[in-house]
Order: sequence, then structure tokens, then C-alpha cells
Amino acid sequence: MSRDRRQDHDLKRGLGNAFGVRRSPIRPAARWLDTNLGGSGLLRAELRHIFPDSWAFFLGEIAMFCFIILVATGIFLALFFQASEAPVVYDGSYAPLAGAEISIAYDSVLELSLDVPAGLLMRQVHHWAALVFVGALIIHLLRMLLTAAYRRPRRINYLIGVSLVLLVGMNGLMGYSLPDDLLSGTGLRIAFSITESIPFIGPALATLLFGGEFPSGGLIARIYPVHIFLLPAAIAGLLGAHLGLLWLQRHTQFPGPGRSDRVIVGTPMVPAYALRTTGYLLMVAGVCTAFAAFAQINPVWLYGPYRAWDATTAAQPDWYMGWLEGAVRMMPGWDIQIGGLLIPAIFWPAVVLPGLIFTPLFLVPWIDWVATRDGAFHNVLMLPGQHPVRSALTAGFIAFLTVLLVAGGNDVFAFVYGWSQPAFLTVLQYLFFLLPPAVAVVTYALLRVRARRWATTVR
Amino acid sequence: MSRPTVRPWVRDSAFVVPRPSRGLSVCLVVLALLALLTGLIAAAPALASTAASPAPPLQATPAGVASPAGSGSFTPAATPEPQPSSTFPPGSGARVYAENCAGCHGAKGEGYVGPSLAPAGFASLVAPMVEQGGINMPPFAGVLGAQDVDAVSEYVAQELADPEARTAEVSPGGDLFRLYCAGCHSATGSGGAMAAGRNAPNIRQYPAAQALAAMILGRGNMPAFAGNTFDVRQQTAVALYVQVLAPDPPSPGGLGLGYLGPVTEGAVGAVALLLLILIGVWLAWRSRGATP
Repeated sequence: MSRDRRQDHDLKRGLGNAFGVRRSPIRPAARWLDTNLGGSGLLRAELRHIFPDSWAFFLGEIAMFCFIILVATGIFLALFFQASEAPVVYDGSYAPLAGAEISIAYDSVLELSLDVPAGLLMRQVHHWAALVFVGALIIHLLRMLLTAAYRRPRRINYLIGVSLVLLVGMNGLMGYSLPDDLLSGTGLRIAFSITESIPFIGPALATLLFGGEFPSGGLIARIYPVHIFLLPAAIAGLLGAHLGLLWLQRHTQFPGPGRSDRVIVGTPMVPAYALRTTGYLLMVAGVCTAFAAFAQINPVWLYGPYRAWDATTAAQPDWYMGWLEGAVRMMPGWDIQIGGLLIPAIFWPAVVLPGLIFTPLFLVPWIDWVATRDGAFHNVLMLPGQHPVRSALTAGFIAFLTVLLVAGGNDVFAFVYGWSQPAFLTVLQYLFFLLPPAVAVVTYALLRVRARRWATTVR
Repeated sequence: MSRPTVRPWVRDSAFVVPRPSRGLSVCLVVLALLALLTGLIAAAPALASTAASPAPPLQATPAGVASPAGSGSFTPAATPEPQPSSTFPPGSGARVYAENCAGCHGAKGEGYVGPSLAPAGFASLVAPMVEQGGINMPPFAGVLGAQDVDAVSEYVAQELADPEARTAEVSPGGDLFRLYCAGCHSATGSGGAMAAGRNAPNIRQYPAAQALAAMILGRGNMPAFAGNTFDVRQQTAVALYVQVLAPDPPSPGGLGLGYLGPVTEGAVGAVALLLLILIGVWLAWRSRGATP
């Protein structure tokens, strides 16, 4: 009896014992299915699909579990949310807004939060899971960059992954815009201005997307199907493709004894990996629920209904849009007038800069290929220390995003720490140019030292 | 001629006890610790502000807001009926009112030539009105002594103001607050950074009377809102709404996180993510060697 067969046998006996029966009724049922349908050979192979072990490979799982949690809680929220900006007089249980004329959308969110049993918990789980979701995706992406996981044969899957980051971020922005509170409207106002700032097509495009001048009164009804159907469907489709490719191509693995591009070492899917990953799903759900139970997020009743003439300080987007907010805040007000064409200053940080970030990000596998001339198939990852240039560039990219993110909350940081807000912004403007190269150079120097040691000890 | 294999990855698997890769672990653990540090730094003020600002007593100040309502409650205890003026001792608020105010505002403040005093729930808002006068109301600063002004203001706020009318003013007060106050002090009253490098303070950290005095008289860069922007009714409405926010805004969702909006929420979200990553590290560590 071969080793594999013996393990299968042990597994069956173990399951039988676990259920307290010597002769499991599953076996004849399975035999019937197999003799009529076939496929046991395929199943036998696929159930023992190997997943390499590392905590770094769990990052994508956190993101996937968050997506599941978001869909589940989102279905609950959709039972109560009404996407309409028609006015209604508030008569719910929150006394400080009694009698206020608000939109039906805001009214339904207030009712969901303050009158529907467990409504606020569901909303808060949804929101915390969204924050964790994008964070897990971005760290997952940084892990790809640091370990060169995007090399052949995984270039297409890398493109799918970066597209997922984009779509998930966009859907987060849509969700943030739905409650029609003061922060939602403020964010949409900025989004309208950004769209309008695109030369030539901007105004027409903004009118088309937003349904007229802002606030058009029909915007929430436009965003809602995008948030709950179009983008989630796209995300689910791309996620399916991402996982399908991962299954076919197998997961990458870190270098180690017995591992090579042709031999993959890890845990078989059934039973160990499946049980472990199910447990992890429950833990992600548990952590999101615990945070939702104890920490309040987005108290829309305090922000009040959106009115075009109202404004509040500490008006930030959710953190994953903070980099864009920061870029807009750091940009000096340099409007350019060429003849009859006005290019507003916001065009550069809010339209050009994201293009400058995402285009190279999408092209990373090909940039890497051009730089290293390495077009071979790889199933073994590189360690960050093995390729100092790649890691240094990634570190510089992280520093760049961090400066943008901090700038997005510059007023809150200045307020909380008692700094002067304009001075702090000036410092950030310098850091925008100086910090990324500095971090890249320092990382490169450190890794070069390490790489030399690594070369002498390991190889 | 070497042609690349169609599927160079191999389905056969060797079962070897995996060893954790130290290089990436060190890098990412350092990253994670940095993230935790950032999260803690960002979250620290929120935690500190919760700890450092105990609920200021509403009535504990000399010019204190004479509302028996605690924060969060909008229906103060029922007020007793005003006594007939003949029995008032000299110098009492009721007597000052009967002699100076009742002619225009009615014996019970119900309004006659002057407006109804039903929503006037704060002595500290009534007093400046008495001293400075209103649109058609003469200033009483030269007519009444300081003690009389205080007495009559207390009387109006305590005895004549109608709690029900006050409750109805909270929501319009919120509208006014978001229009005039939130742009500097934030919709939650937490304060904010100003363009000139100055800060609009957290209004919840002050005794209510001090916050109201600032609204009436102005302070630092803040203009005086009394008379110019708000009439007495609007001042009362805003003051009532400030009472909703201070000392702690209604937060049925749990910890308020300093009421500083998405920045602190993002920091706390980073802590949640870090926790999940650490759970992942633990899982990977637990299952090392579990591979058959």
C-alpha cells in the first residue's frame, strides 16, 4: 500500500470513528454516485490539492472572508435602506432630529441604525469589515510586490488582483456615499468637482454621471444599484477568476528544503487546510463583529442630513480613499487658464496622479520583465532580501502612499497634536518629494548588506 | 530547441515539514509593528480625551445653565405655576419680572407685545438679552442691578420657559449648529484645525455656560453670534443642541473614538487588521509540522 493510499485509508477510518459508526452509509451513497456520475478520480486528486503554508498567504484570505461578511451584512442592510432623496419629516426615535426635513435615504439609515433591532450592529460590522477588506487587499498587494509573486505564470492573475483593489475601493466610496449624511454629501461634492475638472469632457461627463448639477436629487438612486449589484458582481466575478487561476496554477511558495518550481510543499486541502481556513473565516467574522459591538463607526445621526450649505471639520473619506484626499489637500491652488480652457488645480492630484500610480502598478510584471529579462515560470517566491532594488522600490511606494494618507487627515493630526495645520501641510509637501526616495535608498542599503550575508551563508 | 512546458508546475507533492521563511516574516512583522504604532499614536488622543474630560457638571458654575435636564434628556421636570406678584419678596426674580417684563411678555411669559419666552431655557442666554435689549426691547442695563438681572434671568429660564417648547427647539438648533458651528467645531463638537494655524476647541470639554458665553460674546477668532446672527430663540436652540452633544454625544454604537471621524476609525480598523494578521501568524505557527 502506497503512502498516499494508506493516508486516505486512515482518513476514512478516522471519519467513521468520529461519527460513531463502523459502516458509514456515506460509502454506498458515494459509490452509487461514482458509478453513475464518475469523477472520484478527479475529486481524489483535487481534494488533496496542496496549499503552501505561510501566514503571508492568509492576507488574501482575510480579504475574501471580508467580502463574504460584506455580502451577508449587505443583504440585511438592503432590507431596510431606501435609495431616494425625496424629502420626508423625521419622526423616529432620535429626539435631536425630531421634525427635521430629511431625505428618505437618510431617514431609512437612521431607522436602520436606531430603531431596527440589530440594525446598528449589522451596519457597523459592514463598515468595519469594509475597512479591514481594503487594508487586507493592499497588504496582500504589497506582499506580491515584495516577493515578486507576479512573475510568469501569474501575470494575468496579478492584473485581476490590482483590478480588484480598484473596484473594491470604488465600491467602498459608493457605500460611504449612500446614507446621505453630511460626510456622504461632502464626499460626493468633491467627486463631482473631480469629474468636472477633466478638460473638454469634464462638465458633460459630470452631468451624465451625476444626473445634472450637484446636488441633482437623484444621485443616491444611481449609486445604489452600482454599490449593491454592478460592482459586487464584478468583484465576485474577478474573485472567482482569481481563485480559479490560483487553483489551476497552484499557490506560490517560499524557498525552502525540498521545494522548487516543480515541487510544491504544503498542506492538503482536505482535511487540514479546509478546516483551518474555515476556522479563520470564523475568526475574521468574530473580530469584525467584536469591533462593531464595542466601537462606534460613522455615527450618521451626529453628522446630520446633507445640505449643500453645511460643512464640518474632520470631514474625511474612509481611510482607503485618504491618499486621494491627501493629494488634493497638498496640491497648491494652481488653476491653469489656456485661452478658453480652464484646467482646475484639482485635476492634477485627483485625475492625473491616480493614473500615474495605477498605470505602473498594472504594468509591474512587464516592467520587472524588461528590467530583469526573467521571463521564466516561477512557483518559488523571492525573499525581499534577495532583490534589493525591487524591495527598495516597494518600500519607497509604501512611503509615498503613507505621506498621501497622512496628508488626507492633516487637520485631524494637527488638531489632536496641537500643531499648526498650514505648517504641517508644508512639511508634508516636502515629504511628498523627499521621503519616498529617502526610504528607497535606505532600504536598498540595508538589503544590500543583508543580501551579501545571505549569499555567503545560505547558498 | 527548448520549448517551455505547458504546465511546468507539478501535481506531485513532497511532504516536508515547512520551515517559516524568516526574511519576509521579519520584514512584515516590522511593518505590522509600525502599523500598530501608527494606530496607537492615532488612537491615543481619542482614548486620552475620553479619559481626561469627565462630564462637566452643568449647573456647577456661577453663571451656570439653569436647566435641570441632564445631557441626553430633553424633558426637564415640570415647572411649578408662577406665584401672584403681590406675594413676591422684593428683589426676587418674579418681582423683577412682574415690574419690568410682564407688560410686554405677558404675566406668564406667554408673549404679548414681545415674543413668548417659552423656549428661553438658559439663564445665561437671557441675561445678556436683558442687559443689551433686543430689536424693539430697550436695554435694562441701567435700570436693573446685576443681581436683579441674574434673578430675573433665573426666573425666566426656570419658571416661565416651557420644556415642551424647548424640546421642539433642539432639532432647529441642530440645523443652526451644522450651518454656523460645525465648519470650525465639527458636527460632533470635537473641534478642528483652522487655516490660520489656530484650533477651534472641543466645545464638549467646557462647562456649558462657558460654551454659551463664547457663542454670545465671541472669543479669539470666533465672532459674537448674539444679536448679529442669532436672535434669542436661535441662541437657545443652539444651546439646547450643544447640550445634546456635551459632554458626550449619543453613541449607541459603542466607544466614540474621540468623535473625530474617519481618521480615528481608520486607525482602529488598522488595529483590527493587525489583530487578524497576528491570528494568521498564530495559525501558521500552530500548523507547522502538521503536514503529514
